[in-house]
Amino acid sequence: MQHFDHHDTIAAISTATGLGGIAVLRISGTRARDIALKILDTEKLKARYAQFCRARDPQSGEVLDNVVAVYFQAPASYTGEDTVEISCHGGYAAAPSILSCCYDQGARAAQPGEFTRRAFINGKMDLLQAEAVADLIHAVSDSGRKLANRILAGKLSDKVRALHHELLDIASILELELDFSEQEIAAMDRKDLQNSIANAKTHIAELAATYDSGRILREGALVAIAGRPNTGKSSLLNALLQEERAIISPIPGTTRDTIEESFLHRGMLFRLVDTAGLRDTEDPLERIGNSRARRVISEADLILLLADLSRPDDLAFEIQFIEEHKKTPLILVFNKYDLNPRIPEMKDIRYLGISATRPQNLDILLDTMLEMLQKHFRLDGESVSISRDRQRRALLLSAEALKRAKEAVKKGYSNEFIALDIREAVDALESITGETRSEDVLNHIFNRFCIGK
Amino acid sequence: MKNAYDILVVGGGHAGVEAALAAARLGKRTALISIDPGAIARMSCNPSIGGLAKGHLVREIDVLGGEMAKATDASGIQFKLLNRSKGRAVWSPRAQADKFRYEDYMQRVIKNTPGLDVIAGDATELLLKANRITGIRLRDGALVPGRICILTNGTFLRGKIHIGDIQIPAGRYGELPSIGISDQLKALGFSVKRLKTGTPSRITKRSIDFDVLEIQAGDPDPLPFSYATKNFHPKNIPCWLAYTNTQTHDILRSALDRSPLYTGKIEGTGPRYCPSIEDKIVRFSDKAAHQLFLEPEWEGSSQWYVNGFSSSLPVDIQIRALRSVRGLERAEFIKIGYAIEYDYFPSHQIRRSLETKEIHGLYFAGQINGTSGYEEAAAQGLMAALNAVRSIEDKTPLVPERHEAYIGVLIDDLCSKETSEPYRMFTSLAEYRLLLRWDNAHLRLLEYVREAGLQSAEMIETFEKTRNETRVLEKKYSATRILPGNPLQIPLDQPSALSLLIRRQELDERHLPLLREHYFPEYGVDAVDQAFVLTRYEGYIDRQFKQVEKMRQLENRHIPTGLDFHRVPSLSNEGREKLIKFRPESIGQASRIRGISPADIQVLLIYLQK
Ligand SMILES: Cc1cc2nc3c(=O)[nH]c(=O)nc-3n(C[C@H](O)[C@H](O)[C@H](O)COP(=O)(O)OP(=O)(O)OC[C@H]3O[C@@H](n4cnc5c(N)ncnc54)[C@H](O)[C@@H]3O)c2cc1C
Ligand SMILES: Nc1nc2c(ncn2[C@@H]2O[C@H](COP(=O)(O)OP(=O)(O)OP(=O)(O)O)[C@@H](O)[C@H]2O)c(=O)[nH]1
Ligand SMILES: [Mg+2]
Repeated sequence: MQHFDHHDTIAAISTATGLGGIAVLRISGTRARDIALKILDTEKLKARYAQFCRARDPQSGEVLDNVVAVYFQAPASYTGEDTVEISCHGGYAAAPSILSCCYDQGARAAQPGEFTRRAFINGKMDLLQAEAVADLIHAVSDSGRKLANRILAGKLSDKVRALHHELLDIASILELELDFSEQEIAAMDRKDLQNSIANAKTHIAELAATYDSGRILREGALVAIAGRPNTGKSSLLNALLQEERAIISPIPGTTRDTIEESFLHRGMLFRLVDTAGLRDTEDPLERIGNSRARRVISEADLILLLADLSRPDDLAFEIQFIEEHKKTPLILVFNKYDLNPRIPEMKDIRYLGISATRPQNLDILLDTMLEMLQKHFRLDGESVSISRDRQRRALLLSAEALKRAKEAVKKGYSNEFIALDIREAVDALESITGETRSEDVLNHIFNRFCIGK
Repeated sequence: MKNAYDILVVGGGHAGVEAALAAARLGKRTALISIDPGAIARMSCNPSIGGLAKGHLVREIDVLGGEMAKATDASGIQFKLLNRSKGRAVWSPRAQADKFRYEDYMQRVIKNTPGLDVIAGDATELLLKANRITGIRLRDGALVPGRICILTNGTFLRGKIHIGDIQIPAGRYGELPSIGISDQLKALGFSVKRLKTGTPSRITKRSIDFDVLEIQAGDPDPLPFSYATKNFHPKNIPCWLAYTNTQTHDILRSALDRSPLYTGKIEGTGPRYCPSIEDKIVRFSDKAAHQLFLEPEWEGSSQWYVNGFSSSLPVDIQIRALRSVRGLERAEFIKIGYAIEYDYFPSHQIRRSLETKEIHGLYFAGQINGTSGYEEAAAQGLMAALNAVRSIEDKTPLVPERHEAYIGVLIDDLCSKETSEPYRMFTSLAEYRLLLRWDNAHLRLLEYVREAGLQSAEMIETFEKTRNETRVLEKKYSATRILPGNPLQIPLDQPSALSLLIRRQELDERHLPLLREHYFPEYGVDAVDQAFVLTRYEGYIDRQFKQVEKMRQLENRHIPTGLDFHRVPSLSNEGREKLIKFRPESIGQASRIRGISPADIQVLLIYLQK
């Protein structure tokens, strides 16, 4: 981590470079207002008011642009510091010249993410929200942007906090029996205790399990196009991309390496991977291709298994493949529908016929893919999911501690031992939002129970 | 200065007593200045010592060479080990004390301590020269010269009693408040705030109908508080249990508008763990009955303490309400319950040595640091004196860490937490609770006992012996095999390691006498027991030590005194503010201050690396 003096006032153009209608320039830090006032030809900047004025180069006096400036007074700003936002005209001239005047007046160029870091440091957002800002900026799909927005709105933090509360409840009951045992407190039934711990653990594990959906929303779903050689896998990739991306030929074994391309459908990002046709072969190159294909297939969120309708009789390979990949959502795609419209009857599996080269049913295929992913990973528009491995690990650690706590209850251990595990579970949860350890257990007790002689 | 004392202790409460005794025993000329020498070591409130977590404190005071445990053993009339059904770490001794015998015992010990003078007087002003203590001025104008002053004024600083809408300036019922010192310190720039606490009525014994109450006796085979106490055969005088009812609550509720708590006459915050009865019925209105403990204040006492009925409501209401309780219909009142408000000094103003950050030679201990409880006060008094003596001798302060003692937790909390209510000890405040057992205070504090210099050589030798034997026995327990048909009468089909039997709980505390007799006769009872506990909870204890290790990196990262936090870049605003206020001595301590985030800690670490 790089460090700069906190007295530094930082400035940057916050909109993307290029030919936009307007650009927004942001100055944050103790001197933000001073610096803005030097550049803007206005006497005063009133907090939370949009001020129309002109920006001038204080050195040459040259007018740079007509702008609208808004002053946000600390701590009521994005960063928690004094901030001025100047909206000027977009393009390559106005904003950079105003920015360079800011530098002349003593502001320093902001590091990437520094505004958000300051917001986090000043307690304007927790760690989850700070991460969501980064996700939002880098979002490549609608679904990823929406998820980041939900997290930024605090939905995920709320969820983690609810879990935290659930654990504090358990901890306070344990501590109550220890620290106030002289008093008339009905001891919690051990079965109930075990159940509460088990419930908390389930809730935490459920949130951990949303990792995959979070990742899919953020980074896209990995879709492997698999099947025997010559079934039309590369043709399907090209058809979906509407681009001659992969080499196509009637020779079986054309594709050797995996080819990945991203593709957006209804706001959802698919990472399509074309793979080498699967078959037993002596060809060393093709064998390497096959093992690469297998690896991608094993990591896929969704498999499109292609079968060739022009050779419909033998489905033994496909049936076995389906058997071996039961855990992953899979669509059996009968290709070359144009050559043979008779699709075999299948059981317990999603299947459909398409044509890759004479495009048919491709929209239906895409919608089916989306539907299967949504169903399997519960990607409805409202749910929040975690999106980072860091978060998942912390949740798993917490769940692990709760498992130990449950075992300790079962073994008849006394509260102080169980409390140790619960505390570890709480610590792990706190590391997710980056909030300070709360010694709130006693507070919790005083609010919930009448204790004290 | 001629005839100057080394150490002046202001206040003869539980903090003052321990402070004065320790200072004098360490060879310093000491004066104990108290408004009323006859009230030295008085129990202001309930006649009991110890209890959960507080019992631990008393044991630690004892091994370090304090007096509280011995006084309790000598004056207790009922002893009980609390939480006995739970694990070792949370067992805690508690005693009902004969409050007169307790006072007498302490006053006698003080009288017989060479180098310790008791001065009857009301200290009104600290004498200072260039930010150093030079003495004390008393109300009558007398000057007492001294280079160090330990203030332990308890609830007396600008103390004010509330009963209904009546207010009486007082330090305790019938005792004058102390006026002067808190105003002086405030003028010197100290932060001074108000807290409140309360006490219940005392009623006559003959007016209690014991026949309808539940009896509560102590343990038949009690253990003493002090390691020095031998041949312990105390009295076992019972207490009694009564319950409030809805009628009681109605009476109390009808007069809430006359309570100084709700009319806003009291500004200080009271402890939530020790609420007044009116507070209880308001905050927990769905509870139909509250427990009351009736406790004798001394052996053969005609005066009984109504534990659980603390109140500041008007006299007539207190009387009517208590008389609605079954068994107390005819209650005759000797003293009425009251609330008391007093000045305290928010404890960010002291260092871990308990010396104030601003004035050299000035120490604060006890209630004036925002704590509550005899045990908490005594522990601070002892530590303040130890460190005052060490400062005279140019030695570094002696303060146990959080994983070593409840005293360590107490002091660290004082130096890193903001108190909004009187602070008392709870086992849940100790994150390394499993290490801080009441039975191993002598072992975990051994190095401190040696350094402190208050224990006899003999006692230290006993402690050392136990520690060494425990280490040996721990290994032996793993190596020893218990055979079928063993003298412990544990049914076995095949030989089994002793440690395994302990962990599987097939061998428990009850087997220990036989175990010692047949397998380890040459070892002490204490060591056999300690090794048992360590074996039994090995996994958990190891885990706690790992946590200690992990934190130690932070605890050992010293923050230079006088570090200008304004110059540390990238700290959060709140974090910076708190750092400036508390001036923590280590990163570990900083990490426990509310408002200092993990990000701030990272920032500090990086800054200190440079
Ligand atoms: C009404 C009341 C209710 C309480 N309730 C509880 C309770 O429910 N639970 C609990 O744990 N604790 C309770 N306490 C607190 C308990 O009494 C204290 O925590 C404990 O006694 C504090 O010890 P200390 O040594 O700090 O002060 P104290 O025991 O208050 O002793 C102070 C001593 O200093 C002397 N003194 C004060 N000022 C001067 C001066 N200027 N010059 C000379 N001498 C001076 C006094 O005479 C007194 O001897 C209560 C106290 C009171 C008064
Ligand atoms: N008629 C018809 N021909 C198709 C269709 N899809 C693919 N083909 C033809 O099938 C042959 C093989 O197509 P590819 O896309 O290379 O097949 P592949 O599965 O990638 O083959 P490998 O890379 O060798 O595994 C080519 O000649 C394509 O033109 C289709 O929908 N209809
Ligand atoms: Mg191909």
